[in-house]
Amino acid sequence: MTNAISVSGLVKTFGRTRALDGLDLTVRTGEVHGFLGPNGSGKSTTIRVLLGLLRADSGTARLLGGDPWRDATALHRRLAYVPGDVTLWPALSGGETIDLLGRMRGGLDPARRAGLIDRFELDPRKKGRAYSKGNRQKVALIAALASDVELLVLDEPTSGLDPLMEAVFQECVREERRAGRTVLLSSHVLGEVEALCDRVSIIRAGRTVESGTLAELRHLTRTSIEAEPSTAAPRLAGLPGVHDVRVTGDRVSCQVDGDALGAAVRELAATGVRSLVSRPPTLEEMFLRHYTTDHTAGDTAGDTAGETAGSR
Amino acid sequence: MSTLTGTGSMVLVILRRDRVKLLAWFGLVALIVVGVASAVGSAYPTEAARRAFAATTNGDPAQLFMIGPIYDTSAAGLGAWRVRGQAALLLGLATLLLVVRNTRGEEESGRAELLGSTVVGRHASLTATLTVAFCANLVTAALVTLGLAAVGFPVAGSLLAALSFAACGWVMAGTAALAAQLTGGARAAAGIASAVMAAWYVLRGVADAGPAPWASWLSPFGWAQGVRPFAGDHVWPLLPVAGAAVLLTGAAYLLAARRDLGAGLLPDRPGPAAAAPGLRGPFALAWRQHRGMLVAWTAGTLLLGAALGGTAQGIARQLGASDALRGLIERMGGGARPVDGFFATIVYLAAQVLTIYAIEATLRPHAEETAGRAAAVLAGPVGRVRWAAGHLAVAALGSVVVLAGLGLGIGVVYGLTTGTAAHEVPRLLAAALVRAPSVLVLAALAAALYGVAPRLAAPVTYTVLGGLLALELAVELGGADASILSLSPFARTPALPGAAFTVTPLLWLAAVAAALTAAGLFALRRRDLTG
Repeated sequence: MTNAISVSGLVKTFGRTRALDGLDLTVRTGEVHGFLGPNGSGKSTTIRVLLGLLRADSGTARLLGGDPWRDATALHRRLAYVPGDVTLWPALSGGETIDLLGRMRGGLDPARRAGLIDRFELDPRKKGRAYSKGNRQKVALIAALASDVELLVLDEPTSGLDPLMEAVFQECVREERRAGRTVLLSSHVLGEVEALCDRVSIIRAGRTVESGTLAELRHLTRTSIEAEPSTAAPRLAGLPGVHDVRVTGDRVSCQVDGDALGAAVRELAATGVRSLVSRPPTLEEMFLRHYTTDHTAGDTAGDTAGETAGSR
Repeated sequence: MSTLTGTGSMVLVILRRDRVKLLAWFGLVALIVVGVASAVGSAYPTEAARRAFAATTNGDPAQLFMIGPIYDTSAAGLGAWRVRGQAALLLGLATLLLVVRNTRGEEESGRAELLGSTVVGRHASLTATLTVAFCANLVTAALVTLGLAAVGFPVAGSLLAALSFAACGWVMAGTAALAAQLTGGARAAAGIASAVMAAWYVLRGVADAGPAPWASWLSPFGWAQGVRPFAGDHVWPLLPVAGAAVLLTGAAYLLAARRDLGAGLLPDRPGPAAAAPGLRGPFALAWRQHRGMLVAWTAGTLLLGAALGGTAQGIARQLGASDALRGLIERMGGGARPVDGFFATIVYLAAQVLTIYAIEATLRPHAEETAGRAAAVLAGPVGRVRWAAGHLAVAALGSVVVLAGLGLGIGVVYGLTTGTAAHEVPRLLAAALVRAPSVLVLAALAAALYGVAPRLAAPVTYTVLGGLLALELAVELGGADASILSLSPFARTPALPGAAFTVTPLLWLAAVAAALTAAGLFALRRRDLTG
């Protein structure tokens, strides 16, 4: 089994709303896969379909080699889930909740449980209703991380954690990956994604717009170049894949698509430069570009990206 | 008054949020009150018929317990008597739910925090809720006054009758406001307020049916009854009602000023750091969640049963003295002993009220689902059917236990007072338990609807329960044929301890309940999970 999760053409509608509109997602076994997208783009809906809580209207979804709807109970023995909005049983203490969820998954390792409670600095004696958002998330995280499963499905698990706990979480996820577990991590924390994820999928309006390693995605995004030509102004404006050429004084700046970078640099080299600053896209820029709704096909570089993110 | 800033806008928020519920509860109560009160007149058109009815009723402990004595034999007097209990209890219930929902319920959900951070005073929410509750009862009273006057009842009496009903709502508004300060959970607050209301009503009932009618003055429902509309029109009993409402409300404000948002009066005690070995699996979790409510309801039915058992001795003596009453009780199946007819009637009615427990417990999975806790369990290797069946099993067993509490309470106390406990306890226990299949049919209806259309489950099931109760009225007042009662599962069960035991209807009811439950579970497996 090479793919822990493979989803293609998934469609889910709620009344007139099309929450998932032909979504594709592939998570390879043993990788940490970042699942990104703006609010309301369908991340949680996808996860709920994968957990068999919702039934897809069309498309195929395979989870750990099984059908997430038909084989739900059997598959759930092999995965653990942390919801984005953790609600606990008000009268149960945190420790009781961890044990209960763990036992339902077939038992948890007491040493690992104790270690995680210690590392996450959780007071397990508090009642569910008394925990803050971050502490509720810790309860769910500990229950998930302490159980012996193949796949962790984490839906924005750190949105309420403080930076210290965030670091503990990252450490735990790395340990999970080293132990060979697969992680599907939905997150808005870009630093976390950059630090943890082998590959990411970005979705918008129920469709996948990008999928690949961060390096691959960077390649699909424009690099900004700022140069001080030594002689004549370089003829950048005419080159395909070069955008927003601006000349201010004796400086020229532009945005260059990943696959047009070579041509642009050759042109600059031909004219000669006194100084050159090239900046790869930051993660923020990359996401902002994918998250904003008004970008069109002409905006995206590369054929593959152009296809999927095309105007709808 | 800075703590009251924003009360006006909070009133608007409550009106907007609860517009359907307010209209449904309070509008419906007004309709029922006017409709039933005016129908009584046509059911007993002659003065002679009304006198005969009043004489029978005032000697019938079951009626005295449930509604209280008839004070006047005019059509209006009879009408006001007939709706007295329903109006008081329904307005009380509507008001306490309204108050708890908008105070503790909002705090528990966290919405109060969001609103509280805006320019809203600390007491604005409580004040706005009580304002809405006060006005809702007042408007209901105005509608009832107009309605009763329109059907030809004397205006002064109509007004006092309506005010005496609204007064019960006001007392319950204060009670609920106080209960909402005590606990951290809305469910528990509503439970406390309902228990207090039930205790007050039972106190009045026992007092009216037993040898000490003066004791009914210990209950707010006794004061409201003391207004005696169309039979002297006393205004002064409204004073203690108003006083109680003011005192309770004042206490609520006092506590509200001393506690933090979201906190109850008692601090949360820490729980165990690890779960007990037994807390594994969906059934154990369901039991843990149902435990509190089941204990409370069982304690309630035990007490109710004990109160009824305690009054039954005096009732038996009264029954022997009245020929007309013996005839009535015999028709209810009390052939051998008149007191058995009383027990059968009381258990028959109590079973319908206890059905509320069965429905609430059955719909617990729905609450779990909307809160998002169901997903946490179902994301584990727990099938939906197994998860829901855990809750349904606890709900079904709980319903049986609650009924057993009633039978046991009656049996033990009546048996001890008559010195025949060994004989009475099993008989009365059986009389209560035999009602279980009919209660479970309604619970199973809730389960079926939960599977198919979860959002409709509670409103539809309660409408059906209300409709079944209304069948009784249709037969009594509307001239409908008694055969339509056979639509009600409650009327299908043998009326023990008076009547003979037959097993066939019980098997049928059990089969219907099983089929409905199975249909619900089947549908649950196929639908999307919400929340």
